[in-house]
Amino acid sequence: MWVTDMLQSEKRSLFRFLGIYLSSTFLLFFLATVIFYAFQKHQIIDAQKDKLKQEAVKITAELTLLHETFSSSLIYPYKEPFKSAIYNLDREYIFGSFKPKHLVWDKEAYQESNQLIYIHALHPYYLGASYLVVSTKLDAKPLNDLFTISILFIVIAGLFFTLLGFFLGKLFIMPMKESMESMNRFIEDTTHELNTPISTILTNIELMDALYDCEGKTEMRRIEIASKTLSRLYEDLSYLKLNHNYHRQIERVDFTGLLYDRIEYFHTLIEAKKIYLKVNLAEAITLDIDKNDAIRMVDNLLSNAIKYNRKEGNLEVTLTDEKLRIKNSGMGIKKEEIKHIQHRFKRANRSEGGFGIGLDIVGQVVKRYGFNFKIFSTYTKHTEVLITW
Amino acid sequence: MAQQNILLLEDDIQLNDTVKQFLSYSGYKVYSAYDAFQAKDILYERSIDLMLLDVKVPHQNGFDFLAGVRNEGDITPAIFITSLNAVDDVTKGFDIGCDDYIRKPFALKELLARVELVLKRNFKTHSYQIDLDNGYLFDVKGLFLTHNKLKVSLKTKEAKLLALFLKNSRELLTYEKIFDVLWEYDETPSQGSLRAYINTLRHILGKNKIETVKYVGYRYVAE
Repeated sequence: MWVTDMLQSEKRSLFRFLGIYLSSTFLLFFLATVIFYAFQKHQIIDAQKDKLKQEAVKITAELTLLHETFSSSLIYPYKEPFKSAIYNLDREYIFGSFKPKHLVWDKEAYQESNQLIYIHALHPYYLGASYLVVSTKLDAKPLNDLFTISILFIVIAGLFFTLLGFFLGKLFIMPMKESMESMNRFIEDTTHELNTPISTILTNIELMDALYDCEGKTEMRRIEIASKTLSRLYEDLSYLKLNHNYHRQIERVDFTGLLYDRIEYFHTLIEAKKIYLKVNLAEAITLDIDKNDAIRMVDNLLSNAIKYNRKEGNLEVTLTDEKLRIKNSGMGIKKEEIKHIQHRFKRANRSEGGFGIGLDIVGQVVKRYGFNFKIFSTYTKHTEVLITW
Repeated sequence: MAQQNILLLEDDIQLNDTVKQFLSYSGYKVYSAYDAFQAKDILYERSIDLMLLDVKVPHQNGFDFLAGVRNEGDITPAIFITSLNAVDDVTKGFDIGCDDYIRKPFALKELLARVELVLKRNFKTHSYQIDLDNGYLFDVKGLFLTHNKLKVSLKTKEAKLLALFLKNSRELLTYEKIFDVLWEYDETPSQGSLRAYINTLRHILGKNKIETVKYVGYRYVAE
């Protein structure tokens, strides 16, 4: 679980970095592209307007010629794709190859829908005309090309920067990941190396009990309790570390028998604290569960119930068809602390040792099998843990 | 007293000594090996009834060791001693051909229970005593014979031979195989002694139970 937790936080920071990095680059690129597009568009239209202006000059020249020669046939100069018309001083239509519905007179050149219009003042007034209006269809092709290029640019740049960002992010996270991995490896190695000495201690205590009538019984019990605690700590650590890739063997487990076994395992601890134990287990209760999961859950519950009990306190273990109840006369948990307590590394009472991973493991097992887990507690009085299935 | 032989492969000297002491106390003859090569030597020299194998040992890990042993056709039962870290490998262990596994840290009681269980399987029986008719019972844990609950005095080799017959009921046992099991590698097997042991066993079990296969060996017939 540690590994996955770290990977999740890694992922989170990677995504955060990517989010900020990408959104800011995208904003920048988008703005730059918009400005570029606007500028280019303006230029294209200006060029077309210039053309229109040149055309107007040409038409004016022809009109002048027409005016001066007084030819019998007045031929108005048509110049496709340009259209033109002449207006008198009062801005009334005289003649032309087109008749625009309305004109904006206070602008020299402007664009109306897809038409470019240019109004050219004439001096002197040829044929009584004082304005020449030239119009042409706006050439959309360069504008469309510009638009396509801009979009393409955004897409390609976006793609490039996303890839770059991803690569950079990975690069930043690499040392973090490496140190995480080496830490995990370290924990793994340590726990593995702990294994053999713990085995040696426990087996030798067992051996001494079996072979000799040892005089230092009390001292032996203390060593036994300490090494059992060490052993459980080891089991819990390995469990958390391996949880995600551990192959469970779900089988029908004799839960009653398992509970008796585990209570037996804790009896030295219970006796050492002079706790009054009351066991009331229904016969032959079975659960479909991985045996190790069941042991870790029960061990942690019992261990907590003993650890957070007072000397000469009570411990009640009750098992029925649908629930396991462990009640102790412990120091109790404050109401506001109950909801925090299930999180790893959080302990109700800081003065006691331990890693506080116990209830987290219980929580994980309970969640995996869809059990229901409740803690009832009265501060300084008692705590009751209830697991229902 | 006839004892079953256990090969213990565990590189930690303290733990090896502890387990050896405990199993010896429980009535087994334990041969300790601290690396895979030593284990292989012991397996060649001794007639081993059960292997207890740690996975992380020098030269070759326990899995590879067992795979090599199984490849040579040796079906001596094996129990792996692993840590939880290697639980996933257990499937691998079973594939290779181990009979059981025990997780470190373990209780000696649990180890003993598993050892007894696997050793019992050698005799293809569910109980720890095999009924040999006429009030004779053979105890598979301690390799001794009782007649109407009284222990029958047997020579060590006679008890071993009987155990060998019971394990290989209805199968032909060649002289070679019997010599391998009954005589240690530094002893010289003797055909004459073997005949004497066979006679003793025939006297106890009834003549027809042990068939002679001329020039080859013997066969134990249950009925």
